[in-house]
Amino acid sequence: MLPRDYRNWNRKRGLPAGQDPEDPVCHQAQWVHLSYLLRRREESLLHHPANEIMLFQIFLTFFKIGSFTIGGGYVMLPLVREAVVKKRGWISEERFLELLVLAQGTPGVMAVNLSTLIGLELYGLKGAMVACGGSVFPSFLSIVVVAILFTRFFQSPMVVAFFRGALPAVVGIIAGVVWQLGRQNIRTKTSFFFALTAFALMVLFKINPILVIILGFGFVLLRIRLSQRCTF
Amino acid sequence: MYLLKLFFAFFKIGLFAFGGGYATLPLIAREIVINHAWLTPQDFSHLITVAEMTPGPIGINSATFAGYLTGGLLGAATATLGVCLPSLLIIYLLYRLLAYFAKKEEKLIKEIFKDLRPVVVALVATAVYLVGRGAFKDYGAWLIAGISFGLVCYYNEFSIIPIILTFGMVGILLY
Repeated sequence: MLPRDYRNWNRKRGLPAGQDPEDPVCHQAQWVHLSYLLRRREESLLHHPANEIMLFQIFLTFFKIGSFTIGGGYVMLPLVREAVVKKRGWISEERFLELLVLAQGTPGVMAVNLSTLIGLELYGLKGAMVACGGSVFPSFLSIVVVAILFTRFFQSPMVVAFFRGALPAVVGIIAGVVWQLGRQNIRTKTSFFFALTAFALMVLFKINPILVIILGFGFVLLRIRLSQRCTF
Repeated sequence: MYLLKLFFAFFKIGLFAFGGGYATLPLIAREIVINHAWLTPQDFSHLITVAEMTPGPIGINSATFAGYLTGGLLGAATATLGVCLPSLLIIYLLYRLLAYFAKKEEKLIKEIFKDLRPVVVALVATAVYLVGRGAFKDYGAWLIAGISFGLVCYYNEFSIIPIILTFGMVGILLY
């Protein structure tokens, strides 16, 4: 049987694409075949899903993200983007944006939705549970500790001062992410208008983000149908 | 029996929290404070401060804290689980459904999500507004926000967590 990727493998080594490296007869040199087999074994070990991303790694990543989510769930957004897309490259930026639409478009806490989705994408149902648990656990721990010490902790001027410094920084960070995403994704006048309308609907008219997403979904579908890019 | 009741109360809250963590607050007020009277209104005002000032999403924090006040450690665990479970279920079903449609209409789904990207940017922009409402009390705050904005935009190698911690320390030194 031909390996699925032999065409690419051949191209990389300058062999004609039609030749099957697993068939020793059609090759002049036997060692090509041997090195191919060795390479395939190596690759299969390297790209084994269990080796690529371990469940524990997912838990640890989301635990870290959850512990630095200061000032509400939206702060998790740049943290997740940095950890999962930029640093580790587990998912692409486009896929991240798709998952973000889903996370915002479903009821429940947005941060939990997002981490669940990413876990699901990386490791199936097990990954979803681990990612969800990882992002929730720090907040559970800190709340229990705070509840035992109770609110005396929050009257200490140190903590208040820390938040007075950290919160504006967080706002700046999210604004930076908006700038980066906007530069990549808002290029035409139409898309700018689209984004502005959505923003105004949510901030000025206080319309629920889920409703805005559903409206946007319907609008986009209608536009695609009208412009005849799809036939159904 | 008591824990079961607590679990279902928070399950309901998680299920109907349309619009992120802040949407859980009025639901908790209605369900836990008014309907079941497990918490007093004074507890609830404590809850908001605590939920906003501890790390983690507001929705999870407030649920855990309310669970702890009503049922101790076990209550906290029950409430957290109850709030998370609806999300997990809905997300799993939706993901499977979307994967099924993506197989049938791959081009269409890709196109829709591509066209929806401006809306996503707008959604993230609303987060700036939501978090920023309570953050700017003086000019120093604007300066800090401006510096971190610049760092994120123009220096890719800066990671986010050190920025947050540094400006927290700056806050301690300044105020």
